[in-house]
Amino acid sequence: MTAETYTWRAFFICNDLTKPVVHFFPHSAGSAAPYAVNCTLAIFGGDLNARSVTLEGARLNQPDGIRLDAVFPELLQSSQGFIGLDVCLQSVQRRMDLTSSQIVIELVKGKQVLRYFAARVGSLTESKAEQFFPIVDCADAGTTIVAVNGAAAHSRVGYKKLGLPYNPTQSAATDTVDQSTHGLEGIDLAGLSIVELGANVVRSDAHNLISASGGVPSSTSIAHTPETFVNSQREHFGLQPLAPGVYSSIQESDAVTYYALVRDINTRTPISVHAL
Amino acid sequence: MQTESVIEDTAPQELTKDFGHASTSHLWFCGYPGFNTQVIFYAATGQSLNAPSTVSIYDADGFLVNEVRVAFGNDNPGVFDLEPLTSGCKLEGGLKHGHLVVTSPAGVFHQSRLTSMRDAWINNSSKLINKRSELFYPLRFAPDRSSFVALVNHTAEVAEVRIRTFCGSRSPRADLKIPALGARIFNLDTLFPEYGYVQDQALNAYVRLTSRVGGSVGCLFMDRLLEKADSDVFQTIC
Repeated sequence: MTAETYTWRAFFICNDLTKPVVHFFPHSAGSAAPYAVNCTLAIFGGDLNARSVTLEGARLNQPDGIRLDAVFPELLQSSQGFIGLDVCLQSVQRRMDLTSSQIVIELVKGKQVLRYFAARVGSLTESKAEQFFPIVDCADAGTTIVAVNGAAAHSRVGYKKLGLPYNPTQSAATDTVDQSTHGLEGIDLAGLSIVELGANVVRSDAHNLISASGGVPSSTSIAHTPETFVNSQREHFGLQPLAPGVYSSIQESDAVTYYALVRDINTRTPISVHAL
Repeated sequence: MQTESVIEDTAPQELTKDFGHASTSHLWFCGYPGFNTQVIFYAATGQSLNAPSTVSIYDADGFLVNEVRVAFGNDNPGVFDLEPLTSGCKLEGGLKHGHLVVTSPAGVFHQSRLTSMRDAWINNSSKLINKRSELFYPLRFAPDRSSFVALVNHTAEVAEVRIRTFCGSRSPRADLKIPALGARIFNLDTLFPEYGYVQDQALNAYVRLTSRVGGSVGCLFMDRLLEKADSDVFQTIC
């Protein structure tokens, strides 16, 4: 009988300017002994061949980290765009629960450092099978959702457009969300791949807000919905009636993990990531 | 169509709410000059934002400085800017920050959106520290940056948090207290001056936060880049 393996699934960017680092903190509630823990790193997606490396020497309750291009030298030669990463922790002690362990991904680009906590695979509960998350685009930054499929098989990623940004010219009838016409769209996410779902943002000079059109990057098959919205800024005492942007929900499976990614509007540089 | 928006100002009052019901979020907020904070409301399928939500603003010492009820006239997401409501908050650690409690009917979700001069972050919920859950985070002590940790006490009793740094063979620690329902921000260069002030080069380290006394404490980390004297930039909120 072997000990159970606990997996965290994340993504990173690796190119000439951005260097990724993975930090891991093996932890088990109620156990303070520094038991040995094996850490297996697996990369996939992009133009890389999926590959994994097992690191030895990690200890329970002792944080550690390593540069990914030191583990996978092929990252230095190719690899543009998103690359998936699985971090698997396994204790040599049987029945040791490592669910409270934490994985942090760090992307270093000059002085700029982006860090985020990776999501654990298999942590979904039934009530969390459908996640809701608004994609909000503002004057300074735009949000997208990154879906990471770490399974070898295709996975269906649901993407539901639940509402439209506030538009004062719309009638009350059309302003109410009609689920029959805004049903679940989706894409077949290939095995071991990463896709960015989001809005293509366009600056609206009229109100210094961002109008948004639903859609996804050209590498995917989701149909674009080219509405352009100019939000009427009805601010009084700080209350805005509606977020400019599109609103989506996603249906989760254990194979796919999701992250909210905030990019700088002008440079498209990722500035923050949040696990959903 | 006119969207109905409701705000009801209420004077500071004694805390009587039960935090265990409906949909309650505990968030950290920070105002000018460090950040601007917005709360985004959104509802699950079939749910509505018509029913009012309560936004309670506690300053860093845990005093209720403002409480408003917010409702949105349709089912689409709503954005609520906190800036006008935080003028009564005192400065702590050089920033105007505190604890934000948002309570809504079931099926309504919240997230905070923090923006600084250059960056923006979204945050559904802070990482929690309690008797069962610890937190670790990688840090970089360097001359061009300072690292901060913001701690938010979700409960009505004083919380005690122990922060331990792992760097080389040493692991110094510090014990921190966070007022009931309040928040504190700590500069790690100050907490651990042996790393913060004598290094000419960057030094990688880890911190580990544990709590033995009190309930849950939310935790956010951030860096401040020391680029120029007049243009400190906050980044990397996690």
